[in-house]
Amino acid sequence: MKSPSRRALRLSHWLVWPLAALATCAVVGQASYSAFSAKVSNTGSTLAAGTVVLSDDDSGSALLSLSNLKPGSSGSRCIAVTSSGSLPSAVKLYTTDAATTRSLSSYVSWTVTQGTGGSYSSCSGFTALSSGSSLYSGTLAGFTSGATTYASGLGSWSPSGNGSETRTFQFAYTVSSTTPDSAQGGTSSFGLTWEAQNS
Amino acid sequence: MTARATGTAPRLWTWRHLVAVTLARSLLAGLIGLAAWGALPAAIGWHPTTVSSGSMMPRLHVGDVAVSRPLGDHVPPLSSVLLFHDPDHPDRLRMHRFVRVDDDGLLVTRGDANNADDSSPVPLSAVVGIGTLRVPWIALPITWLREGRWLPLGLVGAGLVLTLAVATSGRDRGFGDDDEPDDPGAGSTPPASDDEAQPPPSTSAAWSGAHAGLRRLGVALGAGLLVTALATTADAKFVATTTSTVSLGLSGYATCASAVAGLGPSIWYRMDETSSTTTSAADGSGNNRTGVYGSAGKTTTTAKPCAQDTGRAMTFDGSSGYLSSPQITGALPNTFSLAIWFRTTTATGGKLIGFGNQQTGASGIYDRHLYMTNSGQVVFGVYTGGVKTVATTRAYNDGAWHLGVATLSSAGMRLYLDGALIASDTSTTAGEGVTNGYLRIAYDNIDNWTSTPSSRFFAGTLDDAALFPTALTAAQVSALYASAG
Repeated sequence: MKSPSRRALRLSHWLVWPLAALATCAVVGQASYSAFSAKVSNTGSTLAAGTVVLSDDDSGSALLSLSNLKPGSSGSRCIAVTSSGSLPSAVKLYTTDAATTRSLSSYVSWTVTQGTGGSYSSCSGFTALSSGSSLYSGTLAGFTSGATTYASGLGSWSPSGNGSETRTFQFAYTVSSTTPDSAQGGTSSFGLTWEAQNS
Repeated sequence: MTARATGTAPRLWTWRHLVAVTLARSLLAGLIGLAAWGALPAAIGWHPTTVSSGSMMPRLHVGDVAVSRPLGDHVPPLSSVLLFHDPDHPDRLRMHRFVRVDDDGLLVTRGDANNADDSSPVPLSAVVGIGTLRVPWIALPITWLREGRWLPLGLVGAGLVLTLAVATSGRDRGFGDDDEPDDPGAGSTPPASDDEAQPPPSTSAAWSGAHAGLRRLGVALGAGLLVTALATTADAKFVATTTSTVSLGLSGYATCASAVAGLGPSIWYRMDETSSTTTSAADGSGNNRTGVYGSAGKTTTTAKPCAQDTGRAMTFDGSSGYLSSPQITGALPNTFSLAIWFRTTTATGGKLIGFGNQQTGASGIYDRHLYMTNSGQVVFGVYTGGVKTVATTRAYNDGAWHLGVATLSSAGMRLYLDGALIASDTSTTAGEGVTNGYLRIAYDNIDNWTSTPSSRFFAGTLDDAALFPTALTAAQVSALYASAG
């Protein structure tokens, strides 16, 4: 077969550009339409290569539900939170929908400790982490006003995403023995949320 | 780069080689084209970002470059994909779908692959742009570099070098039609860049210049994309949450004192006197009904039923100690409550609290009273044409503090112990018609009442004896008891 001419070579080199331009237009156009058209249906996907999953062991019960506290009353409760996602993530703890009447939450001291062992049904076996175990220590009012979003959330737990990891959180309350009479009948309620975001 | 033949007789081009070179050049041109799509919009103020996680799968993949156009004055349409400042990480951008507006007027967003909305809604001002162009996979090497995945990076790099090598090969080859002179540029133009295709041989300096310009443009685009994409990534976050709740409630009153005061007593002997021989009992009700102690037969003690309270209690000896109010002028009430804390182990009973027509000594008329039987039951008695009593079945002479509360009203007699209703009689709604009586504590006549105890004097410790002008409700009694802490 005859060797290609100089002309054929030159032609082939020039043809490359319009063809590539057409091809990239097609690729970007199609990709953009499928990604950003609001008309494209938006159902949760199972295609994701990895994900983050978080669960706890309270079986839907309240962590604490106490209605007849007195000045000086104290107690604690544990809850075990499990991360079983496949991506490394960072877990933060924050409060939602905090409400207090008669400023009760200003007279409750509140500590949050992280560790291992123990469960919702019993704190027995709970062991605080050897370092960085204290997530919060102060008034309940400070807790519920300070940690309200993921960004302001508490915690240093970063599950690796390799298999499931469990961390236990211990919450302890003490109603101040100097609680004034003005707090009589006061209440404090809030939601606790642990949120994992992949890192 | 390509080895240059230095021999005198260059090999000729073949069609197979030409096809291979054309394909390699097409591939490189395509990549440059994609890079241009990712980088050029930045020139008009759009925002190219590298997608760094898969929470918008399957719409956006890791390694895509997503180009967002600024919103300007427009409000983004629902379901559009927005690029916005990550509310959870101050220095990052997030690209998620806009799903709704919340009550506060903030935009609620969500990753398509997440099963819940993002926890932190964002204001419109945080929106950088609206996703418009998706350039697939072009930034994958950047993602790999960031994650330290050297194997795919190395493979792609090797593939690129190979493609470059093929694309730039052949300039030393001859042609089948030797009717034109050799390309002067082939030997004299040094390779300007190791990254880009070499210009094809050309007979004209103009052609050569045009190719060099294209090449420079490609280099600039590639570098531009690299810079912009490295500089900004859009974190499409995977999110998962788990929740619980906490509710705490303080009992109605922090202290017994505040509870009693809050219920508005008409007489309230707190028995906080520090002297065991005093005869004056302060009235905490504010009505100045200072009581009278017997000068003997009592001992002040720091033991008290209310852990949160200050003050003391009074121990009566069961043989001479007592406490009486001054005269209560007018008819004795038929709507009232009596309350008293007591602690005893006595087996001879005695009067706890009640009304009599004498201040000291044994009354001749005595009812509306609480007393303890020899076996420790607590009895509430009202006289209305006969003795009417309600009583506990269990014994309370167990050495622990107990709160006894008796109420009389049109609803009848009620007896509460330790905050709980123990017994009631709805048919008895009034006591004996007596005027100018006295409130008697720890001692008075009990003759002819049910299970009359062997002692009229009560042997035990008493505290916070109170008379209320109302019949306390069950909730008030419960709160009164709970206030002991």
